[in-house]
Amino acid sequence: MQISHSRVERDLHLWPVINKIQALMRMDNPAFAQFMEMPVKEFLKAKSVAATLPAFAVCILLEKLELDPDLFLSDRLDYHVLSQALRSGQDTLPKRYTDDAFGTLSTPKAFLDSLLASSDPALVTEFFRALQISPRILLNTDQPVNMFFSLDILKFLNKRAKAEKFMFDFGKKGARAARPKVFDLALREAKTIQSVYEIIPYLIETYVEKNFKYSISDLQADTCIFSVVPREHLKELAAKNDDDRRHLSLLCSVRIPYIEEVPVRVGWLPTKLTKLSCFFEGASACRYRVDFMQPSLLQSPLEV
Amino acid sequence: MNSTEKKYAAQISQIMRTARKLKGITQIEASKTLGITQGTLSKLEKGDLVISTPLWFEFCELMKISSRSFLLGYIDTPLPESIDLNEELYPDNTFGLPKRYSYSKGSTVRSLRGLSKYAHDAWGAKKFEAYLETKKVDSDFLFVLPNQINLQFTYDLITTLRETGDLNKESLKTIEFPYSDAAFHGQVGSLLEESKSPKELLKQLIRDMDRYQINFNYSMESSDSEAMVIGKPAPFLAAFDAAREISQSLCELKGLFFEASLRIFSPQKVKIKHTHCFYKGDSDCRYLIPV
Repeated sequence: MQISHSRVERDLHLWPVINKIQALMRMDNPAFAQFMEMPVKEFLKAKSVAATLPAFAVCILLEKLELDPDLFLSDRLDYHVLSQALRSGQDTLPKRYTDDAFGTLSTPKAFLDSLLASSDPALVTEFFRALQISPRILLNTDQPVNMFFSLDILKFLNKRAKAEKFMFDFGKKGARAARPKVFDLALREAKTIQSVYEIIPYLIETYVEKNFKYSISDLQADTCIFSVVPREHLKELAAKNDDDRRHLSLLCSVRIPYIEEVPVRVGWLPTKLTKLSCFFEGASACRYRVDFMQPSLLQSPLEV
Repeated sequence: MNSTEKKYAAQISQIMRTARKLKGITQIEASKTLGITQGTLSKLEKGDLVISTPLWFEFCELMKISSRSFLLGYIDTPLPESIDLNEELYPDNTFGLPKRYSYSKGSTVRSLRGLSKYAHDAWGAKKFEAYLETKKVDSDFLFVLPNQINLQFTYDLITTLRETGDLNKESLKTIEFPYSDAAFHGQVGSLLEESKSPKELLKQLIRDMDRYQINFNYSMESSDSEAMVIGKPAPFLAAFDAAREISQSLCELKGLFFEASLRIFSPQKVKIKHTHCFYKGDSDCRYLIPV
């Protein structure tokens, strides 16, 4: 049997090609290692002596950048084309995702990290293809983005089995995701679980997303009502299309575990949310009853 | 090995073992060609070692498989136009399929994997493996989408699922086959994804049914809002033995397959009516599908 490239030949040119790709992507070593799903230490160790890389890491790189293995192996990649492809994806989100942008890419980025951790890279590649965007776009998480982006994510997810479970886990993880220091400082200043919930609507609107208006009412010792009202642009969106409205209603699957878990960031027990109504199912607002856990026992947050 | 390495070593080992068996060569033969020891290959096939980039690509070239296979979780090959009962796609029965399942092989793993996954999830990996072992079917066989097997295997699997209480009238209403994910169809999936309407998707699926199975010969008649999918039974179907309710379950599962596949186009579920059933005395099976 004939093997067209010897293993030695492949090893020899592997690093120069990898280095060129890394330079084009303008990623530092830790970010590039993470992109290839390799521990940073191991990546640095291999790079320092140009040692061979594990096949899975290289295949993941090819998969995410949609590179042809044959061109990669024979060092016949067109770096000019690759550079253009990376650049075009780096700076611009399609217009359909930037009009009326009330959020930033930080939340979808957290979503993708979660998707990557819980499933296979082929699915992530499929996601980028389906939305016709480049993975590079997620490097700038401050980019403004509108609700259509989340909507397309929901549509993509809904086509897959266990979407609800994934979204539940995503909401739960999202509650513990990194946020600006001031987010946790503000939460810490709240001395009771009730006052934590008084400040959560403001924190979500300020630091997480602005597509909805959040508020609480009927605050009592062990319960309160949490209301979420879509802003005008979302109301218009939902009114235009039944399919979009149905998908937007899936946001509850993320929101409920998220709101339940936010207090955990600063040491409180999670709360329990029960859905009372949904705007996307015809109600005037999405409303949830929040039950605080063991309010009489918890006078202060637990140590974390 | 860290957890990421372990995860991918396991995925790659599965594909390596399956690809070698598919090719019909021993570990000794494969390791000689690759220039490594049999011990190393054995460790790679068990997931005890992480394969290097050059060796993996060399392996894929040797076995004629895609280097992406481990990310996909299956081996798919350039699609044959249709199943040919008289011609083996690969060297003769390299997975050592028992006689019971190796005549009139009118189904492929592509069509079976929905039900196999259902059994795998219902019973758990160990019990599913044990089931395959009692049936003398190598579990690696199920990782090659064009692999062919006969209808008796599906009948036996349905029978056992019913005996264990995991498949009954109620569960048949709630099963969600993963065929709503285009990737689950293997290479056929990309053709389905290009469809511009549910009707077009269904047409493409019917056109490609020979790549899933030939136990029934499917055709489609359609109006603006509905499509009638007609499955004419192949003459060799009489060779298989199953209780009537088992074969009727097979037809219901086929309806679920169409329903799930249509969700590639739109997540909305459609209600499919099974209007004629060959196993209930009709001359063919018919499914009325809103499109």
